[in-house]
This record gives sequence, structure tokens and C-alpha cells, in this order.
Amino acid sequence: MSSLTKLISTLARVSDTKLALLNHSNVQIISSAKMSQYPKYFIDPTFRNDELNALYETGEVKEKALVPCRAALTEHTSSEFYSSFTRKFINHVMRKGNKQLAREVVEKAFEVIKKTQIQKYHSLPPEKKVDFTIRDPHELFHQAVINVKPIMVLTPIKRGGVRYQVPVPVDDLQATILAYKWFIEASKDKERTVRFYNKLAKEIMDAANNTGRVVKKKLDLHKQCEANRAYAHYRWN
Amino acid sequence: MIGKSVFRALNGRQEFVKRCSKIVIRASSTVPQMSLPLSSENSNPLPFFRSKQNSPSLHGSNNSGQFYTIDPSIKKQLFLYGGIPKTYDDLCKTFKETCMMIREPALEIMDYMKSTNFNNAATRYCLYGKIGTGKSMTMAHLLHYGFENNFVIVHVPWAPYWYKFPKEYSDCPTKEGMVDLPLDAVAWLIHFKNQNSHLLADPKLSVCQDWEWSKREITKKGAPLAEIVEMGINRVKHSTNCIEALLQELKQLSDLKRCKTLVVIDGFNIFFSDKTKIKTAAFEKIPPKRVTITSPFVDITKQDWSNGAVIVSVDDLAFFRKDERNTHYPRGLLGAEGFEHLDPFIPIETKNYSEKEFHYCIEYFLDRRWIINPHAASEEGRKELAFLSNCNPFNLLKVTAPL
Repeated sequence: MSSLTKLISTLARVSDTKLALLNHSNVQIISSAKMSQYPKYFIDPTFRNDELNALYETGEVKEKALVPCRAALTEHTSSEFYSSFTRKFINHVMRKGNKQLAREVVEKAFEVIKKTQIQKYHSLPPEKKVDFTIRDPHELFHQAVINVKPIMVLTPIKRGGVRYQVPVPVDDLQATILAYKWFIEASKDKERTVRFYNKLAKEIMDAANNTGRVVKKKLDLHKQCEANRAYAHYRWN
Repeated sequence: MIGKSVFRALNGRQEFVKRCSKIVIRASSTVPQMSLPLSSENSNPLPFFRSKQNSPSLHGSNNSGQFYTIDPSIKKQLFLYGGIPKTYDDLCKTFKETCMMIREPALEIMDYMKSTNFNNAATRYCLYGKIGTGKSMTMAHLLHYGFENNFVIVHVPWAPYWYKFPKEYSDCPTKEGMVDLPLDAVAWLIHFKNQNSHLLADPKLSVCQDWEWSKREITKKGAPLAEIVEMGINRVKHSTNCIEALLQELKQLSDLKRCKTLVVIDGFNIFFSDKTKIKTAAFEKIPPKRVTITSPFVDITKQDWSNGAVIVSVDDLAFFRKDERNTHYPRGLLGAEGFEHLDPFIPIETKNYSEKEFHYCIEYFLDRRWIINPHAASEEGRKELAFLSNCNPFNLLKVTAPL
């Protein structure tokens, strides 16, 4: 067993919370009721056609109709092309409330990803075309985020007047948010003439292949956590 | 899963057909203006959204909605310096093929041209329509048709480029108050030479009168037309004068039945507008009327010559953003002066995709793998795409881009 997995299992054994550490499951972006204008008993809106139809079929509609419901956000559409995963990322890309620009930029990045794949595909001779699959950019992005999510991060903990960088497990949601942040940072770090969406597309394609800058950042962070394993007990002390 | 294997099978068949066609082209590479030949009888049939006919002269209403392929060598000769809209050209580079949809406006104009009496004055066609409905693409299709039928092509890919992004402007030495665009004129002559290289070698195209450029430089009567073109390219100072001479010569030569001319100008309404980014040496902003390159192209769209056709498009995008007239009709875009100049003309409207055309377009995108999202191919997905884009060809491209 590698030293990294040993560290993880140690943390898991001692920690109370269950960590979905080694199986990187699909992210469930649940609407967090931690800080909300709505009281806790308010339910989330159902806006997908298939979910709505299911409610009508089972008869759950009658119960749900009586419960107060939160307002649907503008991005909650019943569009065939809705992706809850991507829309969360678009929110993180957005600056100064300019959702339209954020969406355009992310969609442009997906277009670039698609174009590079299609161009490669059409350059191939017909025998090799059968084996080449063009992956949906949304799927690629999903895979990229999974590859980039860290399992542990370093947090500063003050003990005896000294701040130590302590390795601490990070839950799924926080890990995803970190992954989004790293993608955006990596895409911004570029020459003036390079477009953000071109850089973002490149970073996503690299990360989906488990290479590139963003994955390296995650691995460096894990190495540092490894290096600071001696301070792990400061988490509880 | 079944769909995937069908796609693969279809792609395999198309590749087989393409390979057959490529072999035939190599054999007949010496023949100019050769389109991709008909698919051989032995190969599997093309999918329903592709046309077997790659020659515009043979396109008819039975091909309406289908995509036909332009040979790369023809594309290089006709469209190297512009003609196919940039967004669509990007797509063609991605798909590694240049395919265009055969639509009604192009078929209509080709039909008229086939039944015109060329002894009469040159007919003027005005393409109009909302943004993104296919005016430039129709012109590209008609250029290919003209090229196949041995027309001398006078093509301005997008006239507003001269007035919005001029390469260089300087006061005209001979005409007072006018401004020259010497480098743009040279660029246009190079474009003309490239498109008509196979016809300029024809001995019938000889100059009808003496042209004096300066005291020592004279092009004499009877010299080949190519000499005027070369003079303009080599001597930047005389480039606009050469364009004027060239277009006047083409009018005379067409009258004398020594050639037939097809004039294709995109964004024609800019010639009758009020603004440009061009300034005189005294920093005075001038309208297109006072730019020397305008008058030859306005002149050739007059009805004082025969044995040719003039196809012109009017577009709201030709104007500067602040001066948009928010109309797509010729009278509004040309203004009183422009309309009186162009009247009488045949107006041809380009429209959004019909149901059939939309269906064929989506099938072509699926075939080329432009649409990867599996939901887009379903019936609800297509309905959503039709709604989001309003079946507008350009909007459909934009909407399907991230899918």
C-alpha cells in the first residue's frame, strides 16, 4: 500500500465523517441549505420534464404541490442540453454577474474541444476512423474535474504560537470547487493575445488525459501533504 | 449503440466514394474548372442529404436542400482571397471538406441565367434577406456556376472591408478631393487574376483602346488584357486606374461578344452610404463617393453593356454598427440614390431554412460529427434547436457549436 493511501486510511479511521475518498463518485451539487433566504422546509423546484412526468405518474404531485417551494434559478431550464455540472462551473467562471459572457466563454471552450477532436477524426484514414471516438466536451470536462479533485489539502493550524500546514481531508463539494478554481486560474495565466476559452479548452483536454498543469498542481499538493504527515495529529490534538 | 455503428458504416462508405473520386481527379488534373465527377455506379449510394451532382450547372429543384462538395482546387482558385464566410470556412477546415447547401435563391438565379437573352443589357439581381439567411453563400454558389460556364468573374468578396479596414489610404494625385486605396486595389487585382487565370490566357481578350498610365507607360490597343492586370499589380501607383481600365474593357469586350462577364458584389449598399474610416491628408472624413475604388464597381453595375450578369447583395451588416438601418429590404438599405442607380433589378430573397432544409442540415451536422450531444439527435432535441435558432442558418451554427 502506498504511503499516500496509508495516510488517507489513517485519517479515515480516526475521522468521524465518512469520506468518499477513493471512489470518485459523481458530484451531487445539492442546494445547500446552510445559508439561504428560504426556511429549511422549503423544497427544491422540479424543472426537468422527465422528473415532472414521474411525479405525475406516481401521484406525488398532489403532496408536493402543497409544500412551499424555492424559486427556480434562471439556469434551471427544461432544455434537452441542460447539464447541472457545467452550469455550476459557469457560475464560478462568472465575474461581476456577467452570466452571458461566462456561458459564452465556457461554450466556446467546449466548441474548441469539439473542433480539435473532429479535425483529428476527419484527418484519419477510414480504417482508423472506426476506432476513434469523439467524446462529448461535457463528458471530457466531467472526467477532467474528477482527475483534478484533490483528496487532501493543507490548512494552517496554530499550535503553540506556530502555524503549521496540516494535511486535512477535503469533502467532495469543496474538492470540486477547488478543481474549478484551479482550472480558471490556469486558463487566466496566459499571454495577452491568447484567448481564455482556447487556454481553458487545452487545460480541460490535458486534465482529462491526466496530464497538464492543473493535474500537476493537484499532485504537488498531495506531495506536500505527504511531506507534512508528521503534523497530521495537530488536527485534533 | 445501434446509431453509432450506423454512423461508422456510413462514414466508411463515404470515405470509399471519396477515394474513388480522388483517383479520377488526379487523372484529369490538366482540365481546368473540373468539378468532382458523379459517384461511380459501383459504389454505395450517397446519403439523402448529399447531392451526387457536384457541378452547379446541373443543379435543379430535385437537389434542393442537398449538400454538394466543392473540389479543393476550385476552392483555392475561386475563394483564396475571400468569398466563403469566415465562420463557415472554419467549419469546412474542421470537416476537411467544403460542402454547400443547394438552396432555392441560387437555383432561381441560375434558372434565370440559363434562359436569359444575353444580347440584352446585363440583368441585375439583388440578393436581400435577414442576417444569416445565406446571401454570401448563395453568391459563392453562383460564383462556382459562373466559373464553370466560362464567365469572366468580377468578384468583390465584401465591399465594406475597403471602407472599414483600409490597408492604406492616400490623396489621389490626379483627381482632386478623392482618396486612393492603392494596396486594396492591388489586392483586388491579384484576386481577379487568381480567379480568371484560365481565361486571361485567351487571345480573344485583348484591349480595345490605348491606355496611357504615364508618359512612358502605355498599354496599346490589341495587347492582352492580362497586361493591364500585371501593370496594376506591379505599379501600385496606377492600381486604381488599372481597375477602372480593366472594368471598362470588360464591358466593351462583353458587348463585342469576345467574353461574358459575371459581376458579383457582396455588401453593395456600402457604396451609397455616408461614412467611411478613410480620411484625407487634412484629416477630413469622406464618404465612399470620394474614394476612387468605388466608381469602377458602381459603373460596372450600370445597364450600358450586354452579355453578362450582375449579382449584388445588400446587407445591414455592411454599415457601421451605429448606422444600422434595421431593415433587410433593398430600398431601405440602398437609399434613394442607390435604388435609382440599381433600378430596375430582380430582387431575390434568402430565407430561413424550411423544414426539409433544416432536417437535411441537422443530418449533415450529425454525419460530420458537429453535433455530438446524443440529445440533439432526438426529436425533442431537434425541435429545441429549431426553436432556439428560428431555423436561421447562421444561428443554427452558433446554437449547435457547444453541443
